[in-house]
Amino acid sequence: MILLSECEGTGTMNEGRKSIRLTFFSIYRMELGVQTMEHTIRQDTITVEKLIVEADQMLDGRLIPLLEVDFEGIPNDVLIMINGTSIFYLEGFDTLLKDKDEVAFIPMVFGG
Amino acid sequence: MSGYWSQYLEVDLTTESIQVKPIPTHVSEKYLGGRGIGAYLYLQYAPDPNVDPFGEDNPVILAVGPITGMPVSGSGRASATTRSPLTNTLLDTNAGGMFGPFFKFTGYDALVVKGQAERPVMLNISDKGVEILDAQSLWGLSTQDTTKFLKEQSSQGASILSIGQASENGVLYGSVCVDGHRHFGRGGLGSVWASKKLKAIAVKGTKRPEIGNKEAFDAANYELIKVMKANPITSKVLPALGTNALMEVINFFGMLPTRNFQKGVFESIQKVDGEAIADTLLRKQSGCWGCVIRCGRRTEVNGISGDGPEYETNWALGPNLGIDDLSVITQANYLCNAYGMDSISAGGSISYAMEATEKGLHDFGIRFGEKGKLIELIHKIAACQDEGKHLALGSKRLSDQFGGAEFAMNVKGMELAAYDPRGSMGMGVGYATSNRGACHLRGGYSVGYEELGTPRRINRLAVSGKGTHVARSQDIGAFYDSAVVCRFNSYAVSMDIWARILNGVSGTDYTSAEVEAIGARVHNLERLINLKLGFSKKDDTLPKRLLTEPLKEGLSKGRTVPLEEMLQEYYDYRGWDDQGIPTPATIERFQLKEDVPWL
Repeated sequence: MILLSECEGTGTMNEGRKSIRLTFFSIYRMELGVQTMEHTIRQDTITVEKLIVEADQMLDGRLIPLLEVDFEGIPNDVLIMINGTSIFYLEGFDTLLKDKDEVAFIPMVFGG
Repeated sequence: MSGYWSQYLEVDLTTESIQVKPIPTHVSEKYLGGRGIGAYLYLQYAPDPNVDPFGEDNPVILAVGPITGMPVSGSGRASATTRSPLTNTLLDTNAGGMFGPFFKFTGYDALVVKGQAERPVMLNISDKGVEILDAQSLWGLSTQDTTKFLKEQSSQGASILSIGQASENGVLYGSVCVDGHRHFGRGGLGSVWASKKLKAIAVKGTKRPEIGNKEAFDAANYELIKVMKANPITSKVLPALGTNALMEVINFFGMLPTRNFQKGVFESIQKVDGEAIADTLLRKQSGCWGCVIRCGRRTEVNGISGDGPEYETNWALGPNLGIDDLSVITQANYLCNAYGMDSISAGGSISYAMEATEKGLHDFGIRFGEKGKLIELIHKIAACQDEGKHLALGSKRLSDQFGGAEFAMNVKGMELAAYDPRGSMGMGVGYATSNRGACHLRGGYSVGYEELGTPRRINRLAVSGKGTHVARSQDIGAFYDSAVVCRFNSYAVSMDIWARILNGVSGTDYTSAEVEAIGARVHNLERLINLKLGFSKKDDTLPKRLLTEPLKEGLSKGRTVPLEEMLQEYYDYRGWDDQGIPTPATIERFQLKEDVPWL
């Protein structure tokens, strides 16, 4: 299990780089083998959709199939939280992310 | 109606008489089975419900439903009803395993046990009939040892219900164990059994109820299987991680009750989450009769095998106590199972004791995080020895005696579960209004909508609309409990599909709205009983900590529960007056007058 990995986005790593932390819960963590990753961004902002696409590339194409998202509307089977708020209450996949934002990916879970 | 036997067994332990009595069709149509029939039959046997929970006039009703034992995932449960010695409310509780279908196959829809035996007894129910057998030699055995012995004696592979030493010794939250590994957990059903000297029940039958409309049933069942396979909860998460998949998620939302609800974030969460269990303790999955999810965890620690811990137990004996050692938590869980006592109430009583010790109210000999003392304390609770005799009574009686009511985390005497309502407003009004006390399930399990967004999303911190939402969730839950189907399957399966399954089985024509209304009827009947037992609006509340102490960290930081606003909306939706009493119009709507003697 990789606790934290640093993944370069489409930019170049340098000091003072901007990054977004992605955290994976439950079966996402188990299947990706990653708990948390820092994703570097070159621009000042990036949409949630673009972040997922870039992170998917860093994760060998395993992320998007696991999340089962098609970027149309709000996903039903995954909670995507930006700094603790669901994208359902923001701009969905068009929500803009910036440096130091934290994105959590939580699968549908339930219990008693 | 198909799917029913339309009869129940009555066993009088005082006179040792056994009778078979009818259940009229109109009663089954009104209440289905399980929890609904349980409340109805309770009033038939206790028309003044204000009976001593430990007296011979407190009936115990075990009931199944029309779908029980059918070839449907989630149909392997049974329900029980009595008056709780822990809360003094009406108590309904249900459990998985094999008992429900096995009992159904003996040809009865319910069993009523009344009176009290002079010496320990057990019941043996089979195709040949019912026997009351001496159980003196079993008294004092654990639930597992009792189950093992009786299964070895049963050449037919019976399903076994049993109580353990906790109930026998006077713990007020004693449970009834199903086949050594599932439990009718909350509220002290086992303690009531012990008062009747009822040690165990063995059932095995071969009768199969008819399916009324097989074509309709098969079509609905096909859809049920499809949606369960497609839903990630029922097809992936629960099978892979069991209920402990919730641990880190609830902690993420800042609402995992930590150290007796002092905090909502547990710093060592990864030592106790579902993945930690899967990596270290898990040996295999287990499941109830016919279930495709198989959410149960068969585990092993220090060479000893057992079941669990499930999410609630893991929390109650872990983060709730400031303990992060899975080995200790699991051993404590095994002991609660073996002794037969509710792990949530045990944990809630211990966490009260820890805080009371640290605050100097009374030295119970244990503080938060003292994992080395937990196992010994569990033994003492089960034996009602030393400080254990106090903890055996639950957090409400503890605070009545020693003070600290503001941190005795119970409602109506039942300890709260593993969700801090300061992070989930609907859970707050749900805990406050659940008919059996602070139950996350009877309270509507609003966290599913609020935190997890299933079956649909609602804002967890919003207040307006929560009263209505929770009332409807409670009614849907009451339908599940009266049809006696597993709520976990229901995360994938819609009310529409369940209504069609029910119609296929029983040849009825319910809509999803009509079955929800049956749930509302059951909830209102239970409410009327509790009102007669002396409960009122003043009891629809929460511990002071949740109303006045904001959480200090995490995603739910700064929150308390604004209960009153949600409560008034809840009462309005339910058709109750501002004191929480069902109005005559509501009683008329649900046709309750004919079933409630004092109306």
